[in-house]
Amino acid sequence: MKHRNISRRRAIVVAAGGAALAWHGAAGARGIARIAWIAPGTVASETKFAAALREGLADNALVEGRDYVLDIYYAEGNYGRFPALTQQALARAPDVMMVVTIASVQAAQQATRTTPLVFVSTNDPVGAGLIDSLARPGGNTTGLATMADQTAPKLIELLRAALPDVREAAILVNPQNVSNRQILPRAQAAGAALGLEVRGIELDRPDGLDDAFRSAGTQRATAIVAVSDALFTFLAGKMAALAIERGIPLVGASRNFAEAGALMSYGVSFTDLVRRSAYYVKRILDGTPPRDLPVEQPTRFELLANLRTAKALGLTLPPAFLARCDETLE
Amino acid sequence: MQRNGARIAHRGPGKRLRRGLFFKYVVLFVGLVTAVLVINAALDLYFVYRDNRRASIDVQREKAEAAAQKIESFVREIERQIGWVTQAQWASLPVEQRRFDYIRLQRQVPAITELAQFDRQGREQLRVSRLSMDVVGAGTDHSADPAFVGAMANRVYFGPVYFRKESEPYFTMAVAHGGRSGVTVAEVNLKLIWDVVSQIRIGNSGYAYVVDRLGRLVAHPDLSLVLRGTDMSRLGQVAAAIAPQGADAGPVDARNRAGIPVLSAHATIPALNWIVFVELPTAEAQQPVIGAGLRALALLVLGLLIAGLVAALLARRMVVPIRAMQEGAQRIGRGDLGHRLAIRTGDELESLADQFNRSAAALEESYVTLEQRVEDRTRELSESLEQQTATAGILQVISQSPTDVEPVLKAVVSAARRFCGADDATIVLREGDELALANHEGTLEQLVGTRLPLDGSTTAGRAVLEGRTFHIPDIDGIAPGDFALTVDLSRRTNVRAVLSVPMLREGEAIGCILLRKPTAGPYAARQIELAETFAAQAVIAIQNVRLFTEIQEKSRQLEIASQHKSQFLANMSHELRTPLNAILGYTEMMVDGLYGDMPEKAQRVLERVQGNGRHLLGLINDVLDLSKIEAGQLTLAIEDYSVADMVATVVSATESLARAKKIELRTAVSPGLPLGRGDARRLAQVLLNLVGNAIKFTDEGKVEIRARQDGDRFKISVIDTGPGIAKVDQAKIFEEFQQVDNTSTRKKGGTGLGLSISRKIVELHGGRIFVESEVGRGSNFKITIPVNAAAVREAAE
Repeated sequence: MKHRNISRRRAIVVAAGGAALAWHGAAGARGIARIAWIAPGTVASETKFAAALREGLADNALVEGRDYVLDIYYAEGNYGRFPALTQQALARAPDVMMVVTIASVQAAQQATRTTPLVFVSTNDPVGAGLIDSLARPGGNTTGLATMADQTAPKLIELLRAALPDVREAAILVNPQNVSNRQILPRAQAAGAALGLEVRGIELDRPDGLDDAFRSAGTQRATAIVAVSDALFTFLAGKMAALAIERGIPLVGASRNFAEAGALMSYGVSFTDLVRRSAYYVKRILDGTPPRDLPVEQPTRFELLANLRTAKALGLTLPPAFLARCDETLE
Repeated sequence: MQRNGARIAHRGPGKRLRRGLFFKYVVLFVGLVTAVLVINAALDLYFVYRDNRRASIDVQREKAEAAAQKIESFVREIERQIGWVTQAQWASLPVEQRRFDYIRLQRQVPAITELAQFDRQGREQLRVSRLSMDVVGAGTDHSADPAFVGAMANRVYFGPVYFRKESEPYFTMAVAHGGRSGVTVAEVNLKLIWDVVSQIRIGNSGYAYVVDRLGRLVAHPDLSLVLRGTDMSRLGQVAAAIAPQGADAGPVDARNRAGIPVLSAHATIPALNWIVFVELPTAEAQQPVIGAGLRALALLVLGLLIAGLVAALLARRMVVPIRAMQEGAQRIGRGDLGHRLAIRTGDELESLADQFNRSAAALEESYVTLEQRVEDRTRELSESLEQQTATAGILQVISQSPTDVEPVLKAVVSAARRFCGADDATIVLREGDELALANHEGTLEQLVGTRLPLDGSTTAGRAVLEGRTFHIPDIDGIAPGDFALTVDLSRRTNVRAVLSVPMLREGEAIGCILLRKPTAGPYAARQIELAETFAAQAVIAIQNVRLFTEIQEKSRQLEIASQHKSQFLANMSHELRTPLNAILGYTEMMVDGLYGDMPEKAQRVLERVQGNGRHLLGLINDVLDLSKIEAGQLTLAIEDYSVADMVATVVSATESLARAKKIELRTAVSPGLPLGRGDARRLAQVLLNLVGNAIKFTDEGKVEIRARQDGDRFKISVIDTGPGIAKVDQAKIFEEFQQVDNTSTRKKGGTGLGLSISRKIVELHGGRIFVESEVGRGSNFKITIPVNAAAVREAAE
């Protein structure tokens, strides 16, 4: 009985919405879309990304409440929670599920082959086996790549340019991020070419940060490199503060690190990628299957220097380096 | 019912017609306006379409050119930026300086992913990349690279488009350093043309895109198409443009990847060997046409509405007076001839209505005249009918009153007075030398019984004397001395006009009808004629009565005479028979020898006396019979009889006679004849008469009696081989005292009464007797009598 009432009401809504359909376009025809966002961090750390996503959706003429509702699930830096969060999200039958890191993409791909998945900033999706190719991702997954795996040597090179005296560096990798494993040897090779010894330090949980820094200290590292990983992005603020506290320059793979207080960064802006991912959401909600949406690679790689951090560390960055910077944060 | 039907028949077509005319006007008008509007709209649309298409084509072509310029300027801007590092002496700058310049160049041009410097020999001196580590002085040999060769030859080189990781479009641009001191090679990420391409505005929903010579998509507002390496050469317009001989054709009607019809134009960037397409959905390109079409449609609808209204108004103006005329015609048609139309339209309709009114007036007038005529004619006819009836009435009176003339004369005067316009009608009859007033009706009672002299002093007198009508329209107009008595009588009786019509019988007047009236004035010719008719009728009546009376008198006299004759004959016969019987008695006694023997000679005389006496007795009996019949005293004694017995009786009575003449006597009576009813003795007398005659007139041969039944009648024939009877004589022989007068009959003797008596007897029985004979061929006398004569007689009575 209840069911019948509902279907009747829906029929009425559909009929009444007939006129509105023409005005509200495809989104109107679908009703309100449900977007699930599996955020690797916490509410606090993800706020700016969520805002960026909303901005991006707004840029694509999607209005929250009218066209979509956004459900955000927070992993709080714990990759082990991705499968559960994915199930939780799928239980609400989202129209699009947005995920960030490879582990999260894999958890989602295992959970569903139908719900469209958009990864927001993922290293080497082809290499990680998430998609068939950039041009034709196949399956139900598409999204934005960071190219951070490729630019890691460049990061080492720039670290060398910023800190010519550094001879030993520690590089933080997340063993739960398969791309990080490839980044490490490349970074080590790049460092070797520049006379820089690079040692890897694993960090795979939020509370492992102190240990990681401690082990970096024991390795006599004079710089720490944080590669592209969602956990590290989540921990960027803490990481930067800890680095300043310990007097070790921190170098990050995204401007988000520099903004969080790292000495410098080179790479894409995760915030930009999140904003851009709204385009995929829009296209998917408009009916394009994910497999027809090529995975985009970034074109903008920014070099940032945080002069405040430099000052805090008592460092003077070479003028040539500063001249190269796209931006310096004072 | 009939009236109702007629009314419907009138109304039905009327209504239909009114609607028809009204709709005809409206349809005609609306049709005309529609046709004009449609033709106008069609022409308008056609020109709008043509102009719009031409304009669209021009615009598209311009847009394509402009887009191509923008794309090219994007590339040329890169080329220009690279120009910063291509001075002749740049290559000799310190490596850090050159590296910095490259980094700066990359910052200036985001599309450049990688820069490389080759020296004059094509060896790599420096490589700066966004993605990978910079390489200084690698010294690798690139002298065979098309980029190096091309740039060294033409200063600038644009390589073909290639796709990194099969997704991102790139192309290599090389610019030679000044003085051919080397080459700077840039790898340009064409993804960034998206900024340019997506900025190109083609109408509302049009777009521009770029393909290379192979038809692969280089730039498109939908970046995903580019990243997927979409091959556009499947599209007709692209295939045509990239074809080797593909000239720079103008815009074409094509379809885009989604299958939507588009107006497509393209322009080539020769330096890059790229083709820039601009496409606008045909629907949008034709928006002005559609708009014009909608306007035309709106105008058409408006025009139709106005035309409909105007047509309705006009048609009403036209139809209302026509309707009024039609109604008027119907009213007049129903007999309302006084109806007039009131149409004041001031045009042909009003004039038509006036004409109609005049016709109606003329019709009304002629109708009234006609009515008068019909009335007159009807009155004449009814008068004529009355007169006919009167004449017929008089004739009826004549027929009803054959013996008395009085009612006839009464009817005549009555009719004459009524129909001839007289106050008094009188019949004057000639009685010797005087005229007597025989009958009269009218005002002049005092003249009844007056006798007038039969002379010229009266009109009646002269009419009778001269046998012609005298008509005196006015007594005062008579010449003095004429009709003195008439004038005198008229003056006394206040009569002014007199008409005397003679009653002529065989040209002689037996009287006259005298008509008088107190006012002067002629009698109409018809009245005179009628009076003459009455006069003739009166004559007929008088004549009739006279003739009737005469005939009656004569027949009565004849009857008495005939009775006297019959009585005389009966008496005479009786008186004759008494002495004859005495003669015969005595003669017989003498022959029988009661008075002694007689000498033979005397005996023979006596026998002859006896024979002649008997013959005389027979004659007397016949005469007696005949007279009885004539006197109506012969009655039949009805009884049953047998035809066979009757024949046998007759045969036995005549057998000796036949034998004496040596004539064969034969009978042929049908067996089983029923008993007849009739007077057997009389019938036997008839048969005996016939057979006797036959034997008497037959000298040799035979006589045959035949009898048979035919229905309810007996048929009896007597056939002989005698001399026969001529046709002229056959009718006569059954008359009294008639015998075929020739030598033969005189020799045979006879009274000539037998057949006459036979005929009477047969006829009394309700039968018939006749003869079939020819001279020299014998005779056949036939009798037919009813089997039951009594019944027939009763039925006859």
